[in-house]
Amino acid sequence: MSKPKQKIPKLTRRDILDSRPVRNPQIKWEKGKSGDVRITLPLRRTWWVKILSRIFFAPRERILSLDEIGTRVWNLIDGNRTVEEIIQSLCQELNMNRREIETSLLHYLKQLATRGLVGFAIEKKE
Amino acid sequence: MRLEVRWRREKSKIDLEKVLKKYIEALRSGTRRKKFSFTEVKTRDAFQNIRLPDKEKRYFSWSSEGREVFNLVAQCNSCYTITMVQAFLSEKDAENIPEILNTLEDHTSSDFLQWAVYDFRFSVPSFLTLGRFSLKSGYLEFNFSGPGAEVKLRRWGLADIILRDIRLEQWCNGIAPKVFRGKISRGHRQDIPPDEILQIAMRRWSWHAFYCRRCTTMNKIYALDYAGRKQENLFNRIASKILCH
Repeated sequence: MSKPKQKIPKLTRRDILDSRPVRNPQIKWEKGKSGDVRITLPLRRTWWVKILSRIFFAPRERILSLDEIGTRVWNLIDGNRTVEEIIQSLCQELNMNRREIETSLLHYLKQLATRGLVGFAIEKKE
Repeated sequence: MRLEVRWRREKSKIDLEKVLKKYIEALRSGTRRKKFSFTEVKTRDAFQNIRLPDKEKRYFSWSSEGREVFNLVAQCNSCYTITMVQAFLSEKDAENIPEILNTLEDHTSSDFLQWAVYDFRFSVPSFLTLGRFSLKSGYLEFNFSGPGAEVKLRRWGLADIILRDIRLEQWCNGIAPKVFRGKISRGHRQDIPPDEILQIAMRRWSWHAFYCRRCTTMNKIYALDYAGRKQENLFNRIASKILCH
């Protein structure tokens, strides 16, 4: 018998804004000379990668270098700030419209989450 | 608060009661389809302060799943545009509704139309119509065209990052129309704090003009490209109507 699928809770925009992005503690990252963040991503060792790596040189990890804005966001993701607080902070720092920041920040956080670099802490509703 | 504004052009005055009836029926069937409740409620007294000069208006309120919704239908007596507003209210938002709706305008009183997207505000002559546009975060672009003129307005955010290791003239060489590439330094530069302004015009087949302004206070760059009949006055008016702060 297959396990019953766990229901993924539906999140509203407000839930996402109130969530706290958290960096994946298993991910290695460092600051470069110019202050930019470099994240070391381990490459997936699937069976075909293992075979190919016997013939060709295949690195075990990949470096992801964040640009200036990406670095700012990464530094703001400390597990204490909510997405809303990050938006407010970026609005002030970059002098940009809230809507513009919100749209691009949510897209960026989604990309980081898809790569497993960040997760979101959401407060349990009573 | 969530506020939706929709509008459509009409050729003449129409019966607003009929429009309202149709509108309510559409809302009712929409909520029924989604299995939500629909209850008409008394409109708040605060909404009587909604003043829409030269417009005929009808409004009503309803609630669904404990949420109050305010709807307004109005028709302009001059241009016959029908505007439909829907606001999902919370207790504190309700007071702001009249203030917001009192600013509704559906036609301009001058020959220029005002446009505003995020915090990019500009005006273009009413004979120009919007063509291609692009709304990216940190970059907005609007292309207008009309008889004898093509106008492109752009706005960049994060000017300090864009211009960190490069002068405005050098950067403009990359974004200006091809006819100006490598010739931007021949243009006229003005430094009026907090703005740096670059302007250049030349004739090649048609008349081309380019204007670029960097505002150091708001950290933004604005650019205007013009191609068409030589109308220096028009170009200068559009440039002066790009509002920053």
